[in-house]
Amino acid sequence: MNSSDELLSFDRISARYANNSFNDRNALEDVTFSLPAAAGLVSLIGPNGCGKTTVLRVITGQLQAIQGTIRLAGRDVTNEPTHKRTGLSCVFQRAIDGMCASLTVEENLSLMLMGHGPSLFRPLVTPGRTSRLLERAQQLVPKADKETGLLANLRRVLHKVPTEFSGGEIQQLCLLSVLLQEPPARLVLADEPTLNLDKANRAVCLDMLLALSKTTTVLIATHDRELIAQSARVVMLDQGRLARHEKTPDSPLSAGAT
Amino acid sequence: MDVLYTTLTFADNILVQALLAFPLLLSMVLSYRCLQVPDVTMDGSSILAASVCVVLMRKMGVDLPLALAAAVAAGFVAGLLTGALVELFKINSLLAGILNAFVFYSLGLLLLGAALDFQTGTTLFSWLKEKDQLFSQGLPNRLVIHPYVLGFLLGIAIVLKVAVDWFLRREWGVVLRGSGSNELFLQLRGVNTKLVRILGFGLANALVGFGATLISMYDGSVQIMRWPGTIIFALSVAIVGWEAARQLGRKFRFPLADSSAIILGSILYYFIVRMCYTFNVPTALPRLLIALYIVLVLAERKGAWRRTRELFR
Repeated sequence: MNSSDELLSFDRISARYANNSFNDRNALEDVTFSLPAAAGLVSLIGPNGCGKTTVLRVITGQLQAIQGTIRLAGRDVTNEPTHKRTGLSCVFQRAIDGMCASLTVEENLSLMLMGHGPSLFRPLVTPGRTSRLLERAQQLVPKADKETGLLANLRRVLHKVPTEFSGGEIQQLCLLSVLLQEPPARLVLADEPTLNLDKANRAVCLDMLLALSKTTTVLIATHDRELIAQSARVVMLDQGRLARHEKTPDSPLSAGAT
Repeated sequence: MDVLYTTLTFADNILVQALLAFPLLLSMVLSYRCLQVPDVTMDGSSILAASVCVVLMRKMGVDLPLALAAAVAAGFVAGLLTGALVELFKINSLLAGILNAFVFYSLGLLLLGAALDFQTGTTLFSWLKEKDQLFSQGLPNRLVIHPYVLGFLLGIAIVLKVAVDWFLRREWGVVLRGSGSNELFLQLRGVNTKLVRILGFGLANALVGFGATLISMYDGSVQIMRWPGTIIFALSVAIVGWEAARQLGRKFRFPLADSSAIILGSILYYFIVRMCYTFNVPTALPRLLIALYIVLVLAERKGAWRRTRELFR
């Protein structure tokens, strides 16, 4: 792989939690792998406690690696704080973690168009931003939305706060916000995003995850067989170590991914 | 006519008190609502700011605008220190506030030379009160109102409310409001949330500094014993206001309505206090009644009755 189009690289990363009294091993031990840009859906799999979430937390910078180097788009970010790690977006198992509960939907979505760093004098919500959001959202509404209809009626829920929605609806809004992000996220991290969803909500969310994976790399920690089957790559962890990292040639998405 | 005079005097009194406390109380929007921290620092930063202002004016002969600016700056720095303790040292926000309340209480007392009651000397309020006195001389005996003081305080309240509302709609302000609920989300948007929050603590306490100085000037002196417990007063007024605004319906929502709810709460608070005073209720009772009122309102909304019944099933 040419290192210039390498999006994420883990070079001998070890990590441990400060208050880990459960066992002596590191949460991650000597993990090395890399992903190219626009790699599509990448499943991060393995049994509970194998370090899937830890990998995501090391990428966002919530957890500092105790050893090794992590690069994002060729830049060494091992010691950079989260807000300096540009081009990342996250979707969580607990959907509300992906939004600000104290802000309206409109404000949450507008934040995705803010670019880098807030201004002291620019208003966040402007008519221009809102109409652009609504316009682009209309183009993005997945087919499966017919059943829930939340995204097609986005205009009506703009002034609500996330706590007024169900978990599935919040997850839809989160994924929509990642799709709307400007400049677009280069790496989307998702931690079991479909785990708590019913069939209708899950269908919408899967559609949006697949839409995302067409242009970006979506690293998704999951046990969801359907998602794993559709992945272009699979990264498997076992007890904090990399067990397997391979492309899945028969995946429908891997053709465009390389 | 007597009833009208009494009512007008009564309303004037409540409004003066409510508007006078407004700048101080407005800091609750920034601390309790945006940062989601009941910032105990204000117990100390209020004294510090008021002391800085009077000491500069009385002992060093500094002009009022400059002394006031220094007081606001002192409050701002006090808040930054609490912010640093919370965000960098990761000290529990209540503990950080309590520690700094001690620190700034001591500093304020040192500045005042351990005087319990430090006269502010002539201020803008002296002039305003004089004008009001002249104005009242032309009125019937039972009618005592203060249009000059009231107009001045109303002007300040409007300017501050508009400024805070304006700020909370800027990108920076929205980020401050969001930082209380999801820092990671904002950090992924490239926001340095720790810095935003530390500055947020600073801004909240700058407002406290301004408010405390204003109150001290109105009183004509910095009274040390007045300030400990400010957070309890501010929090209860703010909650009375927010709960009252909630009754008024969904239109009254964050952030614009929150600053308005503060003035509503302030008026309600002083209304209760004044009523107690008028009907010769012992002076200790108003706070008790307000606490009861808050508990009853919250009990209704949070479903306390149902849970109490379930406890005995």
